[in-house]
Amino acid sequence: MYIPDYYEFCCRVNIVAGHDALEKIPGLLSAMGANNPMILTDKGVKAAGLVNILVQAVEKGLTIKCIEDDVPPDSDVNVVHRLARIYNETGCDSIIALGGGSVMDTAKGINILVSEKSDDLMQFTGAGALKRKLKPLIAVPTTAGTGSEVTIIAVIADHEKNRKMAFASYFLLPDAAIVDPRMTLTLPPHITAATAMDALAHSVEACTMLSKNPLSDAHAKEAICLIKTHLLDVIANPSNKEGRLALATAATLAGVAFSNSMVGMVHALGHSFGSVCHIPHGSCMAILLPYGLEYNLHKIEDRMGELLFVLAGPETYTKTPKEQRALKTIAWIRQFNQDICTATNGMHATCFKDIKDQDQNRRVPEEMLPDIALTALGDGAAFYNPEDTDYDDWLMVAKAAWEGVSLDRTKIKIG
Amino acid sequence: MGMEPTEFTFLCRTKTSFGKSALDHLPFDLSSMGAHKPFVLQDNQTSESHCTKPLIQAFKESEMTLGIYPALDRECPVDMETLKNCYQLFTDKGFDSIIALGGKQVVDLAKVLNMAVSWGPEALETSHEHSVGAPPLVPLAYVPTTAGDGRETDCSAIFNGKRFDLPGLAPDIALIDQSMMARDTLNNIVNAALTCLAVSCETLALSKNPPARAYAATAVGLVMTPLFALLNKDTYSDTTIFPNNKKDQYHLSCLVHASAITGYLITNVRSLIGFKMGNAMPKSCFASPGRAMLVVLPAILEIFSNTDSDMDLLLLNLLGQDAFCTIPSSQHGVTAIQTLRNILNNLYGLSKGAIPRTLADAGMNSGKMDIYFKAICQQEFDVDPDKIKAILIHSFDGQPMAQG
Amino acid sequence: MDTFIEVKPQKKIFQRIYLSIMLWFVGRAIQAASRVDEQVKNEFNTMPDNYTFSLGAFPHGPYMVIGKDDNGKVRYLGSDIEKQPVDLELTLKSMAHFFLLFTFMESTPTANSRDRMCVNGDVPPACAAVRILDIVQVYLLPKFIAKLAIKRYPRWSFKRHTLDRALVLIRTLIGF
Repeated sequence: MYIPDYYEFCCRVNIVAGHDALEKIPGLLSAMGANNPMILTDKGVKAAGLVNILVQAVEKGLTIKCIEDDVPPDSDVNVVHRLARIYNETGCDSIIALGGGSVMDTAKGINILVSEKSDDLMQFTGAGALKRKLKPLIAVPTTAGTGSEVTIIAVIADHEKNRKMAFASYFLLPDAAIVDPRMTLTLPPHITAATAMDALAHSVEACTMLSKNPLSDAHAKEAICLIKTHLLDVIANPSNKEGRLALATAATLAGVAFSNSMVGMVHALGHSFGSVCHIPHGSCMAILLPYGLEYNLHKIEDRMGELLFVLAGPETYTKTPKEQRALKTIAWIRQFNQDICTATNGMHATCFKDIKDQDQNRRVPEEMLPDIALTALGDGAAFYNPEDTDYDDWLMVAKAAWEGVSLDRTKIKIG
Repeated sequence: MGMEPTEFTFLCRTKTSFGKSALDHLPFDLSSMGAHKPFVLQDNQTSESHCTKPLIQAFKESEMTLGIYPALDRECPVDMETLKNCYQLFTDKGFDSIIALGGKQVVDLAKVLNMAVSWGPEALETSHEHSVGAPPLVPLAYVPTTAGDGRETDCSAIFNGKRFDLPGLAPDIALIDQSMMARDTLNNIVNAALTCLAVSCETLALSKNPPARAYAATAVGLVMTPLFALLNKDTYSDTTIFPNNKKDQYHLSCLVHASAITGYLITNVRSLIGFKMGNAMPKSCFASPGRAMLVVLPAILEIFSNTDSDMDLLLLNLLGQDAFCTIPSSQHGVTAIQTLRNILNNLYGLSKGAIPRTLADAGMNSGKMDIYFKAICQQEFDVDPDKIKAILIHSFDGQPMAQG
Repeated sequence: MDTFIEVKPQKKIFQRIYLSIMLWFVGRAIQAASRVDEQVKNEFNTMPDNYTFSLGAFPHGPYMVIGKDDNGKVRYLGSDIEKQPVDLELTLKSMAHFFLLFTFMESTPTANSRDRMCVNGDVPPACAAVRILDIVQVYLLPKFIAKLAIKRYPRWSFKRHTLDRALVLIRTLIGF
């Protein structure tokens, strides 16, 4: 077991999982002295009928003060301010955030304002502005991917000033994360695949980056086991409730892992593809994961070798000579991506040039790659990457991932 | 591998910090919780080992004032008078956080003091009602100086004969710095390690709670090497004092970390049969509940594990990846249990018989099994009493059930 | 000890002096490198004008403050963090951790991975600031020490290793 010279681990979220986890929300809130929640969600979640399921599960034990579904895909400071006013005007005492990353971030932003009795979110940017517990917040994720129900970060955009504000504090953690498979039962196969690969990327990076520690490794390995065991089956049988619970659990465990050991270049470059070309985050993770591992191979060979055991099983691990295990891990992930692509009838891309819009135009034109490389320079995830990265490195990896060819490792500058 | 999740909950309020220069994080961590004036509780073992020195050193440049209460006597239970003194000092002098430096006794006092200063002294009478919707407790940092039995980091406190069980009681921070390891007897250290090993192994084998299994896997890894390193000295004696050098300090800090995890597991895995049985075993026979827990564990796993794959994670963490791969999957269960028996045998040998392998080694009388059984059944078990009896019988001489 | 005592731990005089001197050098070196080194100039160009960042220890320093004025000129603004608003704060969580960093017992990536540092401000300029610090460390330190401090020792041209290095060092000493 690898024990670093120093590490920290914290997950103060009450993880409540099960086929009737939603029904436990009233009890959780009342133990915190709250009974009048605001339900926060987005229009996509509402249209999928998930709000109705939540309301039916909790309405007997709570007085739902308002249901707000006007959260944009990219959380916005004006929306946060408006919803905080509604929270106060309607006499809410808690928030139930039902949705993905943007809803979670918006909920965290609202919670800051209503708890600190402020109307200016800007005062609380950065790490260390919050010094005390906020009002109750329950997170109900509706994708099995981002893990934002267990992270200490919220990123909220100020579109007028064209900047993103980051908030970081243990006090931003939700009081509880509700992992209920009913929330992901209707996810289409290709989105199930993308979000699960996001969780896989979280787990693999958590195990291989500079901040790795035994507790995050253990959580990540549990997540990896669940994803590799259940994902293809859930894609083939979307109504498989046990499989859905397993994937949702994996996503939360992966979130716990990466929020304590951080992520690296896969996420840095993935964020850039996402912000420049608006490629869904999960798709970016799935494509970039083998490339990040290839780039860092010379620094993390042993760690990657250990991961082969978790990914491919003891038999493959034993039969693979030690010096080939790391490469086999990368090959396994590539093959897994390919299997998912087949299972989703080609909707899960294995390289960026294959991602096309409705008119069959490439969503990532090759000429955008320099911009993507430039954007990656400004992503903090690179700090935790084992090997250093400059503009040329980002461009090299982006090009290989675009093309769908293996990285030319002879061109990697070794630190 | 192993268990598929069904229904579970897991909550660990404590931030764990472990390693080099960990103590230097404490002022920042307290400040980030709005605290600037910590009240320090310690015991005599801590003060004899001069553990407040590195603590004060860590607070240099922090502009924080520490209030250091006189050391508590580890051998004497803390009385109401002490609590009142602490409460008075805390409130009169405007402290805003608590640092518990030491072991279980100090932490119990810290938790109870926390309730009193945060919710008022009357909260000690009506703690449960007070906790609903109550303001948060003041920040509590636990800085262990020796390995404990897990109660330090769980959600309970025992004071003046009364037990308090509240989710908010767990410390906000468990900070393990090897420079803070106080001198303690091998007996105490081994007892803590065995409790941790028993609780973690049972969790790995029988729990369907993935976060609990993750913590348990880490704990097993933290215990195994240091435990055998500390025991592998030329002469074993319960009263041998550790640590004696930097390597001992590091090993001890790993065990302390593992015992902190024990607390998280006890709080979250309510169905730990070995834990409950161990705590109900006669104190005349077992130097600590942890030794009893480990003795009964093989029989518990034989009875309660359903399939070989249930034992995968346990076997993996006991043997390591490479050795695990040499065992056919159909033999995982029996190998895991045999590995535990081998560990018991090794511990027995290294300790010159002080650590029992079986109930018979511990001096339990086979003719008094019914008496032991009745005592154990006073604990709340959600299992068939016949199975508890079977565990006792098969743990008496340590025979595998297939043979016995 | 059998009485209750209040202890206000003192200062770490030696560490404070050492770190203050090191930060003075590094601050002036950053100013110098911004005039000499193309890569440092490009990194500062990604920051807006009138932007300041600081590097220091919690809770009260020592600090180094670097600012870019509205003409794009980069200056070392001294050690007083109160004098002007700071847009980006790179803070080590204790002076002890800062000392580990500036005695190269922990490299910058190691300090980061061990949660010794926290960042308040926008992330892209923080990334640029860290890259600037890395470059300046390469200029100031002999290779065998610089390699302890940064993730990857860069492959520079002969001119950059010699002439540019000399210019940076001279400008650091002169303060121009």
